[in-house]
Amino acid sequence: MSTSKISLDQLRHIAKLARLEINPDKENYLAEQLSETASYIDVLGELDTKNIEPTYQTNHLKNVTRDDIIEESLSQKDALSQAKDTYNGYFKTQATIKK
Amino acid sequence: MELNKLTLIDAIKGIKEKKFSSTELVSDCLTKIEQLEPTLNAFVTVNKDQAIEQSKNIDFDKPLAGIPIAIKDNFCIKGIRTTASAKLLDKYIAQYTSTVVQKLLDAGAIVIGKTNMDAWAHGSSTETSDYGPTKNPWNPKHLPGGSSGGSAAATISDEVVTSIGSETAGSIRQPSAWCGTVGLKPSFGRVSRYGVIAMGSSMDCPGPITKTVDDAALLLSIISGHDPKDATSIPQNPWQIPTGLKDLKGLKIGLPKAYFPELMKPAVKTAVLNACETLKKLGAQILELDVLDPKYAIAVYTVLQRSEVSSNLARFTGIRYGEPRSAFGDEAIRRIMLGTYTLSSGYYDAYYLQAQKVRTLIIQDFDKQFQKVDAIIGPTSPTTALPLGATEGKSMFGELEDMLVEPSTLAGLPGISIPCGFGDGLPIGLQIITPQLREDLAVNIARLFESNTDYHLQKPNL
Repeated sequence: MSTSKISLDQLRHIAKLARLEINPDKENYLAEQLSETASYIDVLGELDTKNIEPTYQTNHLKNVTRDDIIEESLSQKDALSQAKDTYNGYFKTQATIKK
Repeated sequence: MELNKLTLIDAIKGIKEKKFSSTELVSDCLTKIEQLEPTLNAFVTVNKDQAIEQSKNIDFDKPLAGIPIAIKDNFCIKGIRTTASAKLLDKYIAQYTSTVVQKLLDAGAIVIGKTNMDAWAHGSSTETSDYGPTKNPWNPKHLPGGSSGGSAAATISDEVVTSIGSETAGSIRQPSAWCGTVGLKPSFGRVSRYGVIAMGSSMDCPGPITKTVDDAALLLSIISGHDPKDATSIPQNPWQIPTGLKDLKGLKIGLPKAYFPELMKPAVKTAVLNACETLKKLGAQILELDVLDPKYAIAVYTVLQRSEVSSNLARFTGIRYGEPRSAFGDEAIRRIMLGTYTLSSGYYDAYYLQAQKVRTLIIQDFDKQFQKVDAIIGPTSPTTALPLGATEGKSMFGELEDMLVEPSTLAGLPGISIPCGFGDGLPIGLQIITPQLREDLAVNIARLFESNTDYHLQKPNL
């Protein structure tokens, strides 16, 4: 792995994926900061991890499920209580598909 | 009498024996909070009227009957504002209660307020809070550490008798070291994460920040235990407070050479080496250890934490709660961006997957060390509390400050930080790390150290 440097194009692409709007004045600074952070993580490539399994969490619990029993959960009123915009008991969002 | 100065154990005793009432205790804490908050800014929200009201009607049979407790502001409590010190959640009123707080309430505790933290728990200073930094009670020109800096500052300054924090990597132990409190970070999965605003879901651990080791042990016994609402919760009964040890005879304690990095403050090194002498006098054998360079833990932690942050903060869309994504502060944006990068197509294998593999190597390294020793000790932080402003423009501040706690965090191990000295009037913390689910041993070593030293009895002059 070579030392990573994050370009402005990359920065804009990442921002789009993360649904963040970056102020154009801050783009250069942010790219520098991300490149600095990336330089610390590049050491990961120094270690031999051939035949090493990844650890996603340390308890090694797998496929934890519960019985399919209906339990009391948030009421519709509570669930909607913090939303800015609701309609007929639903959250209101922007349309994602054009007509 | 200033009842707020009591330890948790003494406050419980006083209320049960009717030496004073819960209302008197709550009032003394509120008076101190009112007096110190203009200087410290340890709280985001104080539940003044509610706490007084609740203190008038308590059930003496409960273990924490009438005890006021400060809760870090990333724990949801139904009907109470929960911001995680982020403006995006400025007006968020939680619709349900976290398991940890529910257990405390069921035990009779009263939530006196919500404490300040780095916004979203992203940091090790409490300086990135959208509500302004918390100041270190030992010297208000210095930081309290973080992210649970509000809980640690409130506890050591006697604004409260005890508090709850949460740790992803260092956020309980490091502010405890910098403020002179006891911080107990449990094994991952020992305490439920349900209702705690998520940061790094494979590492997040709620835990106590207290004035003494016994206080921390009592709180852990109450907040631990299996929770079906948290899929990574270990299916075990609540943790039991262990019987104390007479001495440390026969115990082998490891001291990793790599836990004394070049940037370390000399006073920290001296204090930790003196602590080794105390442990030796108690009968322990101290062995030097060669461990994996902490720089790998820094790298693994940075990748995993940023990745998990980018995923966890994806839910903040401004639709179901909170403000739109434009309300994220600079630090959150930096972390979401890097995490999105390390998870993105073309980089996943080199960063995220490789980090999870190196995490396995770190776990294997600990397994190897624990064949030689029963526990590992070291400084909690390489420095004492840094001055306000120390984090500015430093994208890796937290990771470098927390380099000595990141390896054990990644392995899911328990650890405790206890006061072990002072440098320039600022506290120094000793951390004790034990194998998974061996909080009993960490607590017992800490108890013996505490009862043979008086660092925990010293208080800031405020």
